[in-house]
Amino acid sequence: MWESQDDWDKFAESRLGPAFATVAGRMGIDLSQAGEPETQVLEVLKHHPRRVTPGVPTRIASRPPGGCDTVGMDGSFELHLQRRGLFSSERRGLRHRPARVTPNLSTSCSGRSAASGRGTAVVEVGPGTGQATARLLDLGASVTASS
Amino acid sequence: MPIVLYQKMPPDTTIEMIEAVTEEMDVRALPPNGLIVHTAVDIGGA
Repeated sequence: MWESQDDWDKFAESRLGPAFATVAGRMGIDLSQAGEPETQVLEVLKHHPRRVTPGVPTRIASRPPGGCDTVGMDGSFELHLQRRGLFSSERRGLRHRPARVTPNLSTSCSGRSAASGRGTAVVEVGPGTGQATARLLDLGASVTASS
Repeated sequence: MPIVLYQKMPPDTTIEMIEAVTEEMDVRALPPNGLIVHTAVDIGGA
């Protein structure tokens, strides 16, 4: 995940490309014979133009204070939780996986919160039904989730 | 605007090569400008 397409383009040209060339030479690989990677670029907010104002967080009132801002979701996190029922792992009898990572999340979030007085900034890639997202919010994190 | 970039590398690309490129760029000491998060996974190739 990148802050902008421009950042990625500059990185690919100035650092990634030359590094690949150096390593390929060291390993005896002819890059001219190698295939190109399949690349997909998704703009994080592209498909929600009416739901968010870029850069302006939406306060989720139903979660405790101390860092419950989200960007990219419409008004209610509770509504999102209700939607989870459509895909719920609990309904399919699968294990509640976030419980296995909760100790690590708790340590990270509580430690940062205590030190900085505000929520820990978290980027969650692939939040799925939001099970871990809910735990992060409960722990006081400020979550940016991209699905 | 933030982007999510997904790349599927050619079958001949190995994890060892990805790690060597990462080391070559020294991204831990010099993190790329604008990078938010990066991950790589071996999904099984040729």
